[in-house]
Amino acid sequence: MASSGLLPGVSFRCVGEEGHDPLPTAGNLLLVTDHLDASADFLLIRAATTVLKPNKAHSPTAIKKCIFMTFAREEAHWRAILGKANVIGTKDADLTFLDLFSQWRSSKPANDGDDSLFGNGHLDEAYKMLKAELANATRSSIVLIDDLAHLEWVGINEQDIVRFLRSIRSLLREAGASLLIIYHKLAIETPTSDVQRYLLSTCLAHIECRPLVSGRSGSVAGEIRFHIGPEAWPGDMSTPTRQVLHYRCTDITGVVFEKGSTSILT
Amino acid sequence: MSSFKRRVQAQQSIPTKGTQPVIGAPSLLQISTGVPSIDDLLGGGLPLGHVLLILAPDHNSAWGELISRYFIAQGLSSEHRLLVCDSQPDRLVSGCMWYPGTKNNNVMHGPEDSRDEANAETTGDKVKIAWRYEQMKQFKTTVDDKNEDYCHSFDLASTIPATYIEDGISKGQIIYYNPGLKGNSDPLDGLITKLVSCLGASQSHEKSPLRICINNLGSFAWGGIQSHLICRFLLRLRTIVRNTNSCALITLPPHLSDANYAPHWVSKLGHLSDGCLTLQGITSDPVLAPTFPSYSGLLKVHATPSAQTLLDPSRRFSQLRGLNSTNSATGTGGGENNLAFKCMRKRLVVETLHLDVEGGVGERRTTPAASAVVDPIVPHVAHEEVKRETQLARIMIDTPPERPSETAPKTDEPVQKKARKKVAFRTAESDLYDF
Repeated sequence: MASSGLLPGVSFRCVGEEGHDPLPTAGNLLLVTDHLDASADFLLIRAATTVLKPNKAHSPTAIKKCIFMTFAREEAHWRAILGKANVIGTKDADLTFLDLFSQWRSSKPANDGDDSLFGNGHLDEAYKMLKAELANATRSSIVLIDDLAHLEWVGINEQDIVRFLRSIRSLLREAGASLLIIYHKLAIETPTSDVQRYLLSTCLAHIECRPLVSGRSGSVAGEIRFHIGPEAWPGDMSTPTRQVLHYRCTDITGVVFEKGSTSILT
Repeated sequence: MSSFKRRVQAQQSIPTKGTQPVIGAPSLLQISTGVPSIDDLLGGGLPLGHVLLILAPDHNSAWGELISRYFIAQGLSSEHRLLVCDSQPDRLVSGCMWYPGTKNNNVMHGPEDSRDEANAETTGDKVKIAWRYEQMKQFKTTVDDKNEDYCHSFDLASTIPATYIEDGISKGQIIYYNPGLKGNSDPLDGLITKLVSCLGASQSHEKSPLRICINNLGSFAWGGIQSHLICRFLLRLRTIVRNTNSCALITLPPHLSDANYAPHWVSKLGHLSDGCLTLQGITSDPVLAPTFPSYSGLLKVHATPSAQTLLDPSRRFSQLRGLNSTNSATGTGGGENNLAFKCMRKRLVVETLHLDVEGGVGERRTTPAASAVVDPIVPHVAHEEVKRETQLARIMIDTPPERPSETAPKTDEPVQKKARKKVAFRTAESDLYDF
């Protein structure tokens, strides 16, 4: 299964080079928000597939390393899905997992002491792991984060999470890596936390997965809306021709099609 | 010597009792919750290593506790290990349902009792069906229990014999845990410690799955627990049971099952657990109870387990939810069914919810029933002359006799006004429809 990128018709201008890339590059943030009834997990699989199993019919990506930070689901879950899709690391492209989900087995106090970077042991550990991985990276990378919203729900201070995000974005800019974050929205329209507001105000682009107004359906999992972010300059990206797309999930990926049509967009 | 070697089929491991492979992830096993229709909603069962959360916001009933008892009874029947966490775990287990007819001869009866119950519910003679429709499937609103080895048929009228419980405790099959004991300052942390010790002790040699039943998590017997601590507990529990031979069923008390308990509370619970269902009782609701008199409550599915897949098996295979493509006539997938549950004399069943015709009447009529009173429709006169008298649900309008107009043609024969046909509309709440 080869992919043409995150969404059909979406590409990002390469920094310092001519041409476009199916994935955001060099320190840019791509925010993906979803809902309990409309999951966006398939976009993580599509991003990993674009790096590790590019479609020869479409323009390749300059990114050659995929770092998967698993906060909300266990590493085995993502490995199994990528394995079913035959998306594995090759000599040309790397796939690395940073398992932060299992950190919750031994819950540490919220404030770990004076030497804590972010006032929380989990965030400190995540930062250290990412820093070590990026230090060893020799190729252009993309970091995928499966969820951050649940960190707020379990009582971690929102300001600590925002500082953590600022720190890792600084790391990624130095390393020339990009970032894709999935954030579980609780309210459809308005942001409900400072973390969400920070992400919305600093992203290059925002992909929003919403449930259908008519309720769950067997043929459509939800609708996708693409928004240009505040950090985008004119010409930084090409957007889908349609403002609203529909998608449906399979075992190993998601297929996107136009609203009112059943033909799959590639 | 020939270089060919006979292929010897690898000996298939004997599946553990009471388990079956997860559809779409054959390397994983799943267990039954004890209620076949809830198993169907989850896509076949609860996968090992996953957490199911049951919300029961109705203060006047104990639907969450009923599901816990089914879960425990199924575990005992399948010889699984049990960790029961409750303020009174012995009371919870002793009140579990068991096989039909257990009191007399301890013999397990098969699904015949459920069929007898279904036959007892149907009244009247066998309906004659036209030949062209005989081959059509009977309209069903729920799923059948197919596999007795996986999900046994329990009788709500029977309770588990005390000998089974004592035997289970003596063999170490049942472990009780009361989080409120010993003045535990942090009951959630104490429960996590207990879970870790149980799982650590069982990893080495036990093949039988461990069922963790946490009843009324965060109730007042546990002490005051804040919402973010419950969220943290659910996240930690998921990490602990993942990739182990155990699974957990958690029920929340009514005040924590309320969607207004915290901002976007149900969404958070749905994200933090693998499966999340709400059983909303309607018997005390003044509007819903008479609208759906045959149901005990409405069931809402918030989240279902998706083990190693992006598309959860519930969406693909659940007959009750109706989201798979084979359910609709066009084969393209339809909308999700509304679901309701009913607690019958012998069992709990989840069904698809269908509205009755014409509001409160169970059948459509074009002529009034024999017991109905036909009210003649008279022309409208001034309001002050209309006397409205309601008797139960019947509206009678009395007006003074109309004065014959001088210009009206006089006829010798009296004009007989034919009773106007109307469809009967009855409602228990007469004042609801008074205009």
